[in-house]
Amino acid sequence: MQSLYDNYKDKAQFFIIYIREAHPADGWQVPQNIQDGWVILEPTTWEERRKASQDMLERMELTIPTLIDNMDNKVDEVYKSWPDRVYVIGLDGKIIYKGGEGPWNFKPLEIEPLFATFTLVNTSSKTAISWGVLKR
Amino acid sequence: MNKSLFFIYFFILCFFFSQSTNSAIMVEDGPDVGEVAPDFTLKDINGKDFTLSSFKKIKPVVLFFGSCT
Repeated sequence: MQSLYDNYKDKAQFFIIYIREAHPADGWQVPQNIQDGWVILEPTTWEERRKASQDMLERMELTIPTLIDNMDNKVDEVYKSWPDRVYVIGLDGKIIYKGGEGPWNFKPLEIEPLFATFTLVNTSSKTAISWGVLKR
Repeated sequence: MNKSLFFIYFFILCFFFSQSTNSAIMVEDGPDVGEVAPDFTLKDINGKDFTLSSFKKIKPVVLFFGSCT
C-alpha cells in the first residue's frame, strides 16, 4: 500500500479506511497476531478505534491519509469491506476496481496497471485525471 | 406418516430454507464495478471530516479498507 501511495499519490487520492477489527483479542483471535504483537480488543468507542489506527500507522510506517469508520460500521457494511478490501473510484463517481475479499484476495498491487491508463482532462476550473478500465 | 416423522421432515425443510436465505444474504458483496460508489463522510485521525464525493471530481480515489488485526 505504502509503495503505491508513494509512487502515485499525484495521480489519485488515497485513503485507508480503518474499520472494525478482523481478529480482536476479545473475539476471533489468531495465533499469528499474538506472535506479531497485534493484540487489540475490539474498540468500543470511536476514539479507541482512532487510537488503534494511529498505532497501526506508526508501527507499519504508513503515511497514507486515514479515515476512521464510525462505530455503527455503516461504511464497512455498505462496501462489504471486512476484513479488508480495495476499491478504486473514478472521476464520475463510479467504481472502476473492486478487489476481492481479504485476507486472501486483498491484493493492492493489482491496481498498479490502472496508473498507466490515466489521462489529463481539462475542466472549466481545474485539470482533472481520468482513468481507463482495468482489465482483469 | 406418524406425527413425529412429520415434524422431523418439517424441521429439515425449515433448516434448508434458512440456509438458502443465509446464502442469499452472503452473496451481497458490496457495490460492483460500474456502479456509483456509495457516498460517505468520515473523520480522519485528527477528527477532520472527509466526504468521498468532494474528492472524486478531482482525482480518482483509492480506498484501502482494513484494520491492523
